[in-house]
Amino acid sequence: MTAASDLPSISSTTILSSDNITLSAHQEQDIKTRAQIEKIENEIKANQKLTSDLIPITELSNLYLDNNATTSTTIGDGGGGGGGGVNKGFLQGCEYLATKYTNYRAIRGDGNCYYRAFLYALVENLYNSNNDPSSSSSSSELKRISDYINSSIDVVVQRGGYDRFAIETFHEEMVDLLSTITEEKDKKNTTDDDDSDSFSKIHNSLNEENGTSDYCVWYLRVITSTILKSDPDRFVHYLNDGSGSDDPTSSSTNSSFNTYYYTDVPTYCAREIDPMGKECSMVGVLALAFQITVEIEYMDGKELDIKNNNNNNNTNTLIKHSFGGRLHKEGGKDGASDGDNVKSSSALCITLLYRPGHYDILYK
Amino acid sequence: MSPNLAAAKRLRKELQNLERAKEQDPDIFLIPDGDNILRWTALLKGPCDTPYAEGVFQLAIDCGSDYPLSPPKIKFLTKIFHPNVHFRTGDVCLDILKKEWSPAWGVQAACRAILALLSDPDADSPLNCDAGNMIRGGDMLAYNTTARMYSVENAMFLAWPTTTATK
Repeated sequence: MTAASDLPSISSTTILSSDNITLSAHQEQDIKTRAQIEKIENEIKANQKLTSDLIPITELSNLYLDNNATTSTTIGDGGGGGGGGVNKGFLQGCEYLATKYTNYRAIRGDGNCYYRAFLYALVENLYNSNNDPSSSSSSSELKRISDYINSSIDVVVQRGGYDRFAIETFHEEMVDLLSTITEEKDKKNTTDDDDSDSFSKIHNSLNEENGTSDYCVWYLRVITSTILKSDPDRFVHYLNDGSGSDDPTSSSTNSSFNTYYYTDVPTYCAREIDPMGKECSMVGVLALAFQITVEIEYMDGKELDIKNNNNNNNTNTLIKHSFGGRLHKEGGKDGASDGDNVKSSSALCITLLYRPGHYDILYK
Repeated sequence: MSPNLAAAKRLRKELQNLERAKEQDPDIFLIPDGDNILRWTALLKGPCDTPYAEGVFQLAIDCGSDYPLSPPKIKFLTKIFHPNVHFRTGDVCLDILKKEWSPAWGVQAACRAILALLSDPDADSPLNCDAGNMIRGGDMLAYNTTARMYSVENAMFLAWPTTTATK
């Protein structure tokens, strides 16, 4: 207690004021904002399944028909298109999608939607891959992905710089999920049961809160980070491209507090990839398209030039990009390229629908 | 796997890790509360060259059943005057304990981050506005002496729980 006597004297009022803290306006606002975000998050949690059942693609346009209050919450992370004028482009986009796809599956808009859509579509593809007559090659896809995931933990520890104890549980969950697929597939082949019934077990486990889906979503984040950290020179220039959209309305609840300018990959991974609930940006999409092809239809609300058929082919359809797949190995050239060139590069191909700030799964 | 079980399993791993590498963080002491591994008590040594030096601060760590997907809730039980710690409740304002939390971290990494916060207060997002205003206003003398006074009054009573004296 002798240290106290060395201190310069301070007036007692300075100290007392700390006891009756009055909140600054800024702080009060911050608390209110946090409370509101929490409320929205809880609403989303209560109203949206992690991964919905199949929904006819024709119902997608209902979200854009009238601007009733529920519209914004059903759309997801992006919070909807806003005013009536914007909706025309979306409605055209829905019409176009209906000509190419039959169904979509809504993913919860909690900031994890890209990873969750990727996970679910991958699992479903691996499960269904056996339906092909050439089953030998397609079941090897399941083995290929399983091998990749099984051995990934060493890579993630060495190159990603993660503590083994921290990621073990997540890795195990992902390995378990893949072996469940193998088991269920075998069961399906031997018993000749109805497909949808045996997959519903996987579907249900992927809808448990704080369960398989979340654990695997985070493991996919770890893999994404590791791929980025393994090749920083390739990715470092694309860290600040925003959320994959130049739509100013797409800033989400999750990133509204802080925006950073990134100059190095590890910081980017720590702030944007590793935390749950952070949306996947283009650079993450690029990195995660490992071993399989990811096609994304971009529906950003821009009006389509439907009459002008013979012009540039991008004006009357939604823009579609394909990422990754086996392109890495075959061409020596990696990353994004125009859709049609890579169609056949991998037997595994998932198709996602992008709307500002959100991803869902599309079905043909 | 039930969420509670997952959280407990993970924390047991963290505990094993802590016991293996005890010397890694000599300024952090962590122990689970009795039979509930989801609740921990932490002791932090105030960093040198800060007004918290020589103080021993007690914190309560509360891991929910969704840990480690969600961050642990961490509170100072020892009163502390710091811009990012609520003066009455002991709540800590730290990005990695909120939106920037990653399941890759654990309770030890969280404590490390809090130690870093003691050395390097962030006056721009204050939970204790008085402390924040002193630093923002450039009045480091006021901040240092006030923080020091509260350290002397509140943080000098806990003995560091090691068998071998570290001093």
